[in-house]
Amino acid sequence: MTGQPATTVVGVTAASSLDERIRELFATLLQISPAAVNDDTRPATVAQWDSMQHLILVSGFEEELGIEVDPEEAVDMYEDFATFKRIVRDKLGSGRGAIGAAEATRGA
Amino acid sequence: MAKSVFKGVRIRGVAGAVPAGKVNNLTDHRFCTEDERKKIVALTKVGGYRKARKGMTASDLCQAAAESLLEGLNTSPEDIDAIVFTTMTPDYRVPSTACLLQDRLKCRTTIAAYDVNMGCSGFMVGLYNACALIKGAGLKRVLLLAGDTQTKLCHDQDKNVVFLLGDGGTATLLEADPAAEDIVIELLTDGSRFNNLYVPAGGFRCESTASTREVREQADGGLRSDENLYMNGMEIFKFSATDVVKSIAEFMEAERIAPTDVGALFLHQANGFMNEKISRKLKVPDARVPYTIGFYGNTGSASIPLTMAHHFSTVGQPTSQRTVFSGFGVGLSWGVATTVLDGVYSPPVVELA
Repeated sequence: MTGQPATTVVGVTAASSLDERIRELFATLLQISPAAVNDDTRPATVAQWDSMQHLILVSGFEEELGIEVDPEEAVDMYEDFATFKRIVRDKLGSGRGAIGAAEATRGA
Repeated sequence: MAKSVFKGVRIRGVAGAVPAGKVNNLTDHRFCTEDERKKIVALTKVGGYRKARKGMTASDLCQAAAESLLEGLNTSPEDIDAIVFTTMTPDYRVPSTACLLQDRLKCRTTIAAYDVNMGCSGFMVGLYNACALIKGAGLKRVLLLAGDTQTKLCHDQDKNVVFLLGDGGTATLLEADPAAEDIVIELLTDGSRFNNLYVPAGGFRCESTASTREVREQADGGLRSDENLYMNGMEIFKFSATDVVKSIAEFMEAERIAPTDVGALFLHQANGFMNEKISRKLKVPDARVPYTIGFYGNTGSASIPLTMAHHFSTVGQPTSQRTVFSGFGVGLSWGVATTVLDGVYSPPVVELA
């Protein structure tokens, strides 16, 4: 029984770390402060997050994390940061990205 | 459904012409930082494009392309039965520029000549018209001219469009030929979304006034007047990434064309990032998707035939090549076509000073 809580804690830590890396990369590519990025951040609230910058963002995530974003997903990611993060996390979780592979290795 | 099979129509040749004036996206557009310019070029793959000087129009470019094509094919302008000119940048609001081109190209007066007001789907709509004139009206030879000088529609500090849109003109000669492979064309339209890509004022719905000509920073951060081209980038990306991809995929399935059957996929040259997404979604190998967007940009109705002309004049004429085309843009209007291209003549792209 003692192993179960420990696994959960590691899982939560890994997820938090991944969220933080996505947030930092997002902020870096948009050239804004990571502190200004939260789940409610949306294009209407960040002047830099226009349609051209969005595609630069998506392209930057693809390059940095080794993932491939489908066109429909790229459209969905323009909703808010929570959606953007979820889609990136899903891709990394499916083992299709550099960080995902690294996290999987770490978890093993 | 506006899907038609045209039997007995051959694409004999295609030629392109571009202005000599060049825009370099990395070194021009100083209203953006160097870092921004580099990122936009890396994304869109548009390193630069051609820009028509003042007084040069799409019809000038199409005329140059047509003269080069007819001379190379040893075809007299007097043998042309119709001119179809697709453009959103005509010489005059009235009349159809095709009428002027009849005279400038020295064609007979006993021909049909008219404009089709279309942008990035212009080649698809024009091809449909040209094929219908040959098969439906019994004409022998139709000259399809497709060209735009979109730089004249854009404000030169509107980041949303000024890195993408260039100028170009083309001429495609179609002929009646019973031995030709079928040309299948499907056209689609959704006018409910027209205002995602349009010029809001200066027409007859919203006439030109001092206010509509006033340049100001717009809600999307772009600098332009209401008489400049407006593009809702994300909605157009969404349209291209979903509706257009779906239409091409369904068309290919209906025509029983597997991705590996495609010898060449000529897409409207929208932007590099988007076009790569589209071709990968369709699973057509990159090597079979010719691009000219890197040096001509997005040239509106000219982009597909200009890419064909550049491609065939540099790598050689196609031989029994299963070809798929798709143009998409203002309207919203889009189309998909296929045929087997064989021996399409293309002279080198003309540079007009």
